[in-house]
Amino acid sequence: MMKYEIIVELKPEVLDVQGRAICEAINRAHKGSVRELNLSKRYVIDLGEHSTEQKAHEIARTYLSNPISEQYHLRVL
Amino acid sequence: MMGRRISPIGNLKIAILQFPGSNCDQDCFKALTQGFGVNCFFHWHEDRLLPPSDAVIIPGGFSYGDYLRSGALAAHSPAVDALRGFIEKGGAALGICNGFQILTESKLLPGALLRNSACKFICQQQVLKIQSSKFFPEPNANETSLISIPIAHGEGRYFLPEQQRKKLWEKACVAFTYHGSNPNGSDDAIAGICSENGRVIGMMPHPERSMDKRLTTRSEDGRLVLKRFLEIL
Repeated sequence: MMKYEIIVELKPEVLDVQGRAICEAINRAHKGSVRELNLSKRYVIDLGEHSTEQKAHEIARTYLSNPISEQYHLRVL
Repeated sequence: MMGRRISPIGNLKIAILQFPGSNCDQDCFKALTQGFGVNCFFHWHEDRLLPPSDAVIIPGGFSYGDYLRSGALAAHSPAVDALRGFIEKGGAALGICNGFQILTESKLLPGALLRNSACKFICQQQVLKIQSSKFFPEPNANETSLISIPIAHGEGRYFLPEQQRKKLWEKACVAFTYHGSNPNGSDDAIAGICSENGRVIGMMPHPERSMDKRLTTRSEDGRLVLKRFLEIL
């Protein structure tokens, strides 16, 4: 069993409107204590014993993220 | 204004892709068959073999429930594999709303469609400006280049990095922009684009919902867009 964790998030130059909305909502109650909040998605995939990290990158690049607007971080679990 | 059409409209055969979650497929079918007398048929997402067609419509909706990202799962479907082959041979395609998202996710058109800037689903009548483009080479320079068509989406904010966007304008591939307001915060208020050969068009607004003035939209400007699409075939 080989598990990989892939975190997908918007590129820094892309406006994260959901993150902004959540941030504003928290700050209404906590008086501006959150300076910035960014949303990301976490995927965990199991590619079996004989998988390669290259395969995990390929899946992250081709399916899980959109390279136009998003970036991803991958680690072996 | 319009180019010459080689094949009579009645002889045209147009495929309308259907995914689980498509919900504008019937509207597109009626708009084209009843509005223009075109022959249309539905093409199921699992079918890799596309029957001979003059064009393909990728309708709006929520393909595969919009899971992962809007249009992302559909972009890897057998039907879109077939569409890719069709487009690579010079075939014409029109993606509307979710269809536009599918075209960008499958890299058949550049850019990405992100969550609306106000985080809200927007459903309203919207004024568009028809830009002079490879799709509409000579829109009227006066106010008739403004049309009113409904929009209905939660993820329609067009995004493309600035340098690439500049090239999009230079190559006359920006087909429509929002006019008067930019409802979803799209870069350069872009509402629709076309490929460099002008035969693949993606747009967030719904021309098929604006075919008859008797309906609540009080506009039939969608006819203009679909008519132009049929003329390029």
